[in-house]
Amino acid sequence: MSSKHVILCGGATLSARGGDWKQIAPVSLAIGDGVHDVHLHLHDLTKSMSENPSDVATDLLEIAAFVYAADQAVRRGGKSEFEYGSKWRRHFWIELPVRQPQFWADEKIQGPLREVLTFLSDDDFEFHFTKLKKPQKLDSYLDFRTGGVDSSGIEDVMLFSGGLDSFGGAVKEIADGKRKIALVSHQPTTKVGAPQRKLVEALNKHLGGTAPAPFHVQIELNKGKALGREYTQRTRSFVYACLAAVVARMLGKNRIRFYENGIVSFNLPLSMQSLGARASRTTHPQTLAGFGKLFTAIFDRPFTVENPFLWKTKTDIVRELKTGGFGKLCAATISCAHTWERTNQHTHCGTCSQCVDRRMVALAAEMGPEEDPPEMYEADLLEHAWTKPEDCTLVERYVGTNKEFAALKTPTEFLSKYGDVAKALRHAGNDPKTIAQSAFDLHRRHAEQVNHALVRVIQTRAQGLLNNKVPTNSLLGIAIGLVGNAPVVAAASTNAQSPAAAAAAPLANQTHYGKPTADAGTFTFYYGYGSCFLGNSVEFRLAERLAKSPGVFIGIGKLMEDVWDGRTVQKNTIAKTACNLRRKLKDATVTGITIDGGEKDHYRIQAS
Amino acid sequence: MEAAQRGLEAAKADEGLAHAVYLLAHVTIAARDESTFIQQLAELGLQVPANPNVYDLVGAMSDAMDRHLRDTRSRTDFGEMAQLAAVEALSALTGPKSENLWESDAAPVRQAVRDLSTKEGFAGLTHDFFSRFMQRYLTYHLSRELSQHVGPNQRFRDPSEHSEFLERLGVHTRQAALIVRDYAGGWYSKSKYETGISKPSARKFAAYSLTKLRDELKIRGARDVV
Repeated sequence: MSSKHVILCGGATLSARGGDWKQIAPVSLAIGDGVHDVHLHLHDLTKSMSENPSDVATDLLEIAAFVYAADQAVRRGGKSEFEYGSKWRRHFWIELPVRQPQFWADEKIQGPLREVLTFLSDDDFEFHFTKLKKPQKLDSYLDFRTGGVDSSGIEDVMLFSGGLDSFGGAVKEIADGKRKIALVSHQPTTKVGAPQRKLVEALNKHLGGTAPAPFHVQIELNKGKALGREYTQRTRSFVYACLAAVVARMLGKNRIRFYENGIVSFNLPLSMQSLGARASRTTHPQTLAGFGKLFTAIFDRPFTVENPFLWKTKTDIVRELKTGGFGKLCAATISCAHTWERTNQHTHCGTCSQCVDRRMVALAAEMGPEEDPPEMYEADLLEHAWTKPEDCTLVERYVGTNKEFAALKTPTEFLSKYGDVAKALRHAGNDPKTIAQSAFDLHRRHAEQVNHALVRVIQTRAQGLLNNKVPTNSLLGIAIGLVGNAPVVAAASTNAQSPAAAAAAPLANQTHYGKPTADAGTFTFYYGYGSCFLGNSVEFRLAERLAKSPGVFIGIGKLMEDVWDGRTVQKNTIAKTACNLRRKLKDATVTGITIDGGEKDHYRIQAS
Repeated sequence: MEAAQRGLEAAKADEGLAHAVYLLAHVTIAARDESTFIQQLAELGLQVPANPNVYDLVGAMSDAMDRHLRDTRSRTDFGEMAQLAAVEALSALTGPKSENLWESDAAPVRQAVRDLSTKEGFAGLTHDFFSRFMQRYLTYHLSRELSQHVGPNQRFRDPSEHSEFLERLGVHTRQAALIVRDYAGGWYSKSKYETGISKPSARKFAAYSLTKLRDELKIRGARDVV
């Protein structure tokens, strides 16, 4: 169930195709500088890095560029609901000329390529590689630096987005580890590129020569305006990884590192609609393991892709930055996803998921106004009135899910509520049991940090809350359930348009039974919020009799009279009926009540 | 409600749902013989080490589902829900039994899974699986809607009440899924010994289960609303 799309790259023509594909109008893509083209430039390399470029590395750069462009050129079908993913998922047939078609057609390469792309994007990919007739030289994509830091002695390559996490990673590598590092930045727009450069300069200035200056490579890969249609860009980390891997190989390295906090890497969905890759998997452990497998196959040597921050929360990272004296530099990092809308005054929108998380973490880590200036956010996280449905869901579930995490007690309970965790168990470099425990600890710690921050903020804003100066549909209002003047209504039951509302309608109107109740009209037993349909059975009659006198022991003689219509039955029959009743109540999750046979030849129903 | 019912009709033919039921049935059957347990799991596409614990098993189950759905190009939202429900059900029913025992001992998870290979055991596993599947299915339709009803003048006073509602929805689907439990054990025992559990039979069983569940939810909805 997915929509089919044909992508013709670099002047490719249709190869032999059958079936449905013939009916599909192709999308043509080319690398160039026009509004219909994919733009690819690697800036600030050194001449020595490009001395022996391999055809495979150049092919990989172009494949990454075309995948990235195809991902954006073809829409997923909008936000239509209840189509069960048929519009979200796409099936690509990609015709792509390369320098080494036989190499890329080999299943040893294609298998890992399809695997990681499908996991990242939820899309199916079929690649058809043909011989490139007029191959571009690698140099045509490169700009060389004329001074500054040289590329000798580089120890490692890491991705550097200019956000808080990658800044934390750069500090760890450069300032703490005293290592010379290549920072590889993807620069989709100049609005992103300039702050990245400024941050590196600020870090160098702060270090004052006490640590090796990093070698910063910015790679401009974007698409012409006419191509951009789909905003989700689920393959973006494939592009980042390919760019960094090519730079790593130019430097003779066999490893790249992403630095991203574990909560974002796991990215457990906040909403049940966020199935599959709708919750992005940019640095998910399975994604990074997939990149490692792919690059190992491509470069024919062990190649690893790591995230050293997998078991850290963002709050942990920020606290370490503060402790190391880098707190004020955090103000120059940019986390906002809506970069194209930002201004010099407001570098962050304050409403995207990245901004919500960053601001909450800033509060959890007790960042001061010089470290995370509140004015750089266009919307104040705590008191902004949320109106868009998807924004409300984001904020409300951010708070709600963290409360749920905090209540979890064991790793198996975590796994039995958040099955997505299982997708990481065999891909995070350790045994599954250790990974499950670590993931459980990570999410619990994050929840405690966020919840603690919320409590502190509520305390500091108590006056405003008391005076009704905080909007009820703000994060603070939602979190503490501010009560307005109007009466509370059962909204879920009044929404006639919602398709599943009717199925769940009993819950919206669900009655709480303080006493055990047996309804002879429906042969159903009720207690608390639970109910158990027993049918016209002896178990129902036993429940009905016992419920008449809750807490009072009834002798088996009386039970024979009332339940078995005066017939004499074996004690064992009564015991078995009581046992069946207990099992049925348990299966129906009617809790807080027991069928007590603790007194000889007597039974009672008792709140437990 | 119509859309949700149409969705359930579509789910009946879903490869992911059928494969999840097929794997759950065969994983339990594999656990009956200690000497061939690992090998039988491998034949199902579940690669586990020599002494698997619950985490090895559910990690392998999740990966096997992913691989199968990718290779057959049959990934859907139903399949994702089924995959998650299967992993969660296995974790919930085998995890607590093996969590406190020595991790180096192979017996805990195999024995815990073996307990699910009886008529009653499989009935319980199927009940848990379909409860979770239906809870996910209903919440899938409701989730965006529900967050709009948190706050003053709303159904839920705060996110905790929303979470409690989701818990109650779980109770609701668990009660409804008893209808599946009633015949799942019988289907398992009969199929296992008479014809073997094939993919088509697992698909048929899953489809029948959805029909029963849909009808049960309809009855419960009507009864409780009235």
